[in-house]
Amino acid sequence: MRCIYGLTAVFFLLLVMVGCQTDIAANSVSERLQTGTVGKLFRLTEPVSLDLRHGFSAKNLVSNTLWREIGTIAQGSVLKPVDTVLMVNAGDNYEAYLVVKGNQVVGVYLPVESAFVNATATVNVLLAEVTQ
Amino acid sequence: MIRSITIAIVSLFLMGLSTGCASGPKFAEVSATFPQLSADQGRVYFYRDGGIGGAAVQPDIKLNGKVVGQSVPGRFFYVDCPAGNYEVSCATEAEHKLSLALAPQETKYVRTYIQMGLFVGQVVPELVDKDKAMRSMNDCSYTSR
Repeated sequence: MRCIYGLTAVFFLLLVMVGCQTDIAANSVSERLQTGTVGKLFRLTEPVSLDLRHGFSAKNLVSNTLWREIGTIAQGSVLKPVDTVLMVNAGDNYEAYLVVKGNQVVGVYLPVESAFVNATATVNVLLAEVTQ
Repeated sequence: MIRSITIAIVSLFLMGLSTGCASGPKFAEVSATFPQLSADQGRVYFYRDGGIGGAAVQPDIKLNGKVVGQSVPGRFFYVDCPAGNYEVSCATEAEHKLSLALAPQETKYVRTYIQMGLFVGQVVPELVDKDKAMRSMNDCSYTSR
């Protein structure tokens, strides 16, 4: 009898773990990257704390890192990290690029999934263009 | 009782020592021999820090479903592949994945690490930057695929 209780508990925990996986397709917006504006290089001059929607998390962006504009999506310009990485965790891990509009971070772009994940609150970002 | 605990601790220590001092050439000794990438290719390095935690858990690492190596403490290897989108996966009692986009001539670094599972440790792949990867890979031994 005790064994059955144990197995039931384990089964329940497994179900909870599976339930905690975030469905990327259901929690992001499909976007095609337009690659017409390639080239500008920026330096992040202050650290940025990214707050993404429930179920998504990303490490804070470190200051003094380089980001290259590689195109645009409907939500803004897409910046690919040059000397750092941006990764979003949503159960599994996803490489991500930064999406900015004006001087605000509006979310992240997942290049493999061609999907945009919005930030729960837009964050001001200080980007200094680097002349090449 | 004390004797068996002592034996267990010594075994654990020796196991840790053997994985921590994984034999084989270090990155600095072999990196010069790695081939140049062709114009349309990128490189993905895979490594796992040395340590005794979950040392016996060494699952396959798959790249787009194909086994390219194993997650072994204190070891690294690399895969050259055409630029494109890739999914890295490691499975024990649960499968963990990482998606990454590889550009031509680009090098990416994937660290695998162990996290606690229900019955056995789970191995998670994560993308790391070059500086962090090199700090660890300099202490790892090369495993040819």
